[in-house]
Amino acid sequence: MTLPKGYGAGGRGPSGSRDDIEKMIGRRVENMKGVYILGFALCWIATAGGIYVGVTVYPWAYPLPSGLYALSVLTVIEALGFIFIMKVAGEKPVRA
Amino acid sequence: MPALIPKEVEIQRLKKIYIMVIMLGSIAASVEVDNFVDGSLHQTAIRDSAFTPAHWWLYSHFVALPLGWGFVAMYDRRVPILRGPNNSMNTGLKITIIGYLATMFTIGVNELWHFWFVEEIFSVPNHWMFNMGVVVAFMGALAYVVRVYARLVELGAETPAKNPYVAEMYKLALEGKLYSRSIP
Repeated sequence: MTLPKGYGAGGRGPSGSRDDIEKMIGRRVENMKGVYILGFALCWIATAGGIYVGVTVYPWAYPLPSGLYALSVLTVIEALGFIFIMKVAGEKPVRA
Repeated sequence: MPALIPKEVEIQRLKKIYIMVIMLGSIAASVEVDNFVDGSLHQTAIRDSAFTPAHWWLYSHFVALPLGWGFVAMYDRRVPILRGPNNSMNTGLKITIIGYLATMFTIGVNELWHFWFVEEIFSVPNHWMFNMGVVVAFMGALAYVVRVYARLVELGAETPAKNPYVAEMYKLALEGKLYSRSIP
């Protein structure tokens, strides 16, 4: 693989190691699982928090069953996004 | 199409964009849910206040989505193949940001309207702007995500479509001919 100037071994042996790529792009998507998990957890906590406030402050508009229904639907949406992100991040190239 | 940056680097960058788009897609799906939540609330309540949970949910997303797509636009500059005409921003991305900026702007317009008219009627003009903005943004996002996906297919990071008609669409997208022959 041809690398920009300053990267790689500069003709001295094999180039394009994992380190070189990480230097150019930062952490690889495969190694960012912690960020995805933390993001999903924060997202779900924010959702549950918003619903809690809705149910508590506006009980006439958002009774508990509505709140639970909203939480279920949103958990499904967030979980689908999370699963899809983990799939995209983890999959290997079809051809190298 | 020749690569202007190393293949491995391009795949990683495209995947990061793809992950950001999935995240923004989940947020957009959540707004669609809130469309119904807010709509059902307004079956019984006329204009209550800008600060009901259904409105927090709606408005915060109309701020989060343009900011999120703006972030994608900043990161997108690192992938040369995704550039638009005259090395500008990708056309799909441009349309998405314009669409969501319209919704962001409409938050203010909507508040102004409801200062005088308290009825929450779905078909009033200030609500057209929300809905048209979202539709324009979705169209742009679709064009952009097809472009990103098609490039991932070309680089061998995604499995190409088995359906020959869909495969032909990816080919056209890669050549910049899926939507127009003049706008790459």
